[in-house]
Amino acid sequence: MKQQRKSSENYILLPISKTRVNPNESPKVAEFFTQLQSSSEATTAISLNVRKRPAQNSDEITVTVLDSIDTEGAKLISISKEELANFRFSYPGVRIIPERFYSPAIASREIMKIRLSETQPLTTVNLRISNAARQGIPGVTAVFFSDFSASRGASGVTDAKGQVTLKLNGTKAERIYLYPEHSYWGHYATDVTLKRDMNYTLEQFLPGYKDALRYFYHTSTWRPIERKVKVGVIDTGIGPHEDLTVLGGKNLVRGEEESRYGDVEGHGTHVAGIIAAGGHMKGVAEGAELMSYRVFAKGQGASNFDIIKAIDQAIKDGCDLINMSLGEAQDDEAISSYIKDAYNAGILCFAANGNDNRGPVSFPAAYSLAIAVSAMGRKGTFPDSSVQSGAIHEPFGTDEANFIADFSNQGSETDLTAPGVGIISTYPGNHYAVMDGTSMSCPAAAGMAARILAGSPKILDLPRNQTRADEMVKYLAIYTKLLGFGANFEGKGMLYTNDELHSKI
Amino acid sequence: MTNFILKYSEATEPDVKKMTAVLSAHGVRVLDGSLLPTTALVEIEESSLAVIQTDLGTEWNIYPEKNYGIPGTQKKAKRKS
Repeated sequence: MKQQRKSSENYILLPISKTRVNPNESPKVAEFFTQLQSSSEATTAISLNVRKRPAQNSDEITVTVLDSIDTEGAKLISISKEELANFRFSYPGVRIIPERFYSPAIASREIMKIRLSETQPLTTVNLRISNAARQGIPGVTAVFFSDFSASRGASGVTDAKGQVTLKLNGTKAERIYLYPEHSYWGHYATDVTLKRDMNYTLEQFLPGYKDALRYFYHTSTWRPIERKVKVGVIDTGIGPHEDLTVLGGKNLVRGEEESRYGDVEGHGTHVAGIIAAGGHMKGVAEGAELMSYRVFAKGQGASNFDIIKAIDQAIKDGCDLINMSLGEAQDDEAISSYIKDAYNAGILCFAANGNDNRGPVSFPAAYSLAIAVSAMGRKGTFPDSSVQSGAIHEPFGTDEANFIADFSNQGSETDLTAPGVGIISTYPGNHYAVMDGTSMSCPAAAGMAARILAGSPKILDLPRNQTRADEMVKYLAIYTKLLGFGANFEGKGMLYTNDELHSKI
Repeated sequence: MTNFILKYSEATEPDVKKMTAVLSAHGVRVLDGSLLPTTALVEIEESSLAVIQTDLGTEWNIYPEKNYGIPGTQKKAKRKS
């Protein structure tokens, strides 16, 4: 594994609910806080046990307790950033929140950027995109950049004949991206001389193609999970698709019919397929019970109120896991209070780290009770000319074919990583599509969690309370493997189910 | 008028009569009451926000309604070339 820098930072420890631990409700957390309290009086480093497989050597996390509000109250600790995910998985009954410092709200002078206008010739490009049989492909989004760093360029969508006309300044495109809706790999090219008539041929894929998800998880040979695990997908809806069985759900979009929880946009159907597809293409947890909670009105964002209604409904429906491949930059207490309710009802929420090109981890992934998932990829699991090749970026893993996708957000809140580059899954109309993003890695992790938890009926049969959620997190911690990206990029690593895969990673 | 989420924060049962009376007194419209009695989407005049919060008491929190997006990875040309 690559050498990781051990830098310590301060964090505040709090019980899951409220600000003081109740020894009657959470005796284990109370005992843990008492242990930390005694350490705080001497301000010395203490070693905490780490949750690992019994066969593995024991490991410890070193923390220093810097301050404390009584025995039952908050603790200020110093801990290595590299150990954060380890801590969260080992002590799930405790919230760990970064210490923050606030500054006076002094208005700063705004810096104005003035861009000199360039006089360049206008080039009109008649673009045609076709398949190997020379048939035009409709619905392909073509994005041509004349200046990528300034986001200057032109874009359009191909018509029924696979044609679109673009007008750009200059005679060269710094970058070209072609994004088909489904059935084909996209295309990526750099430094292309523009011509009046340009043609591109896209490569079709088959559902059996070994993408990054199937490189790590042999879904085609895996048996359906035997113990029922219910996974709620809060998204654009699911299906219908011949490879997907949706147990139920609800449309939470205000003003729309509750029974219309199908998908017309594709994102939710793709997410659901990664979790539980069971037909020509297999998800990682075929047999998991899918619940569709639609919160996105067509072509629009989702209200946080509709999202909390969806979480509330997932709690009422008895979901075990919730997948949220969505996010925004700012904290949102309305949603975090409902994620806490879900956790207290024994449900784990998985959320996407976000795709802001190494930006900070998005909310709700950044919330301490959500499981934040970054996106990784593997060279050789997509064509060289595909848009996925543009996502290859450092850090590379211990196996240098593995990489954290260039778009994936990173930060100490990251809990897990999973394949999220060039992932093939279900798409409305009984199609299949390639998609990228933490939107795809999130269900890969949630689906794997469903598969792993299906192996522990004892945990699934626990009363639906915080202890159940704690035990689920601890159990998942046993089935993780570091890939060598560093904690900010991978947290506790990737979920796996067996030693064969363990040795492969 | 702006949309806000009204959320009860205590473990005990909320005093719905008091909450309803405060909302009525300030002309607050309930847009979605499907999660009542603990949560509701309401429409509030922003200038009345502070006084409504005071009248409701600390057991009720008021959060702004926000919009969430699907985190996409497609590159976008934001400006004309």
